[in-house]
Amino acid sequence: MNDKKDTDDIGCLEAIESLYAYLDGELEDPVSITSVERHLGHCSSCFSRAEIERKLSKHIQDSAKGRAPKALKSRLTDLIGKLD
Amino acid sequence: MSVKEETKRYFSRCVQENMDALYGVALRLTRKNADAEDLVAESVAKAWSAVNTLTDRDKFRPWIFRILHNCFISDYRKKSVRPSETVYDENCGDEAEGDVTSLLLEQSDEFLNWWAEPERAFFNDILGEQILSAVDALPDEYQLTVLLINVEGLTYDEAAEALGIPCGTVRSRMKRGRTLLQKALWMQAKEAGLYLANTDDRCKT
Repeated sequence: MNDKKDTDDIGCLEAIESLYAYLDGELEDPVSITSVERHLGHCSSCFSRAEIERKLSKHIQDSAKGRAPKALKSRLTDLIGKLD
Repeated sequence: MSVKEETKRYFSRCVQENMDALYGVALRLTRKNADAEDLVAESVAKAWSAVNTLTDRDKFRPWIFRILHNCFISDYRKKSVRPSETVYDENCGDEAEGDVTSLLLEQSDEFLNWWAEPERAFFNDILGEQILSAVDALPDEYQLTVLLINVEGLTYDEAAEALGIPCGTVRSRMKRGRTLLQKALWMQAKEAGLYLANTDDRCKT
């Protein structure tokens, strides 16, 4: 991890604290977004961590995405047809 | 068209659109195809009987995931042999954030150095099955939060509605769930010989 590079830099601790929210698109404050991006721009350790997190998310998504079997689709169609 | 017919048409369309997502989450929770299908069917039936409680139609997804979650807790988890209790302390709300950050920072240098080197192409070596196995090993609460947000694309607010918990708890569960996943994958990598203390000796296959 890097120490703060300048007075505008939030530092690794704060960047890590906001990293998941940033990656999930849940960081709404433009100032916070800019702060995280600025830090990731010069801190290779946090940038690498962010890249790994992005890849992990993508792999989880690819691996865990479900596909309903045809039998279930038919079952639900029948079920909804009979709902009253 | 009557109100009831219109509601049924809307409900049918929403179920069709979310069938894969409901099944995917149900399968990870129950681990069995037949149980997952039963859980989805039961959830859809219960959702229809409670459709009048859905006041905002834009919130169908968190609403039906909450019903599925409740069905799982009340009917399926009791039958399951898997451990259901949360192993890790979980304080509700934002006060848990400090603990989560500590967990990240407490990881050993060995782990952080290994984890922070994407050029090692770790993910090319880890099979989807191993990632799923790490996801399955998460305590239910963390697993479901990760699935809803990471896989099904719910926002933190929607996940909070689906799980009936504050948004701050969703945030801390995501952090902790991901940290636990990282650790589990690290252990798997070590066991599979993908990581060795001396990186020059790493298995290249």
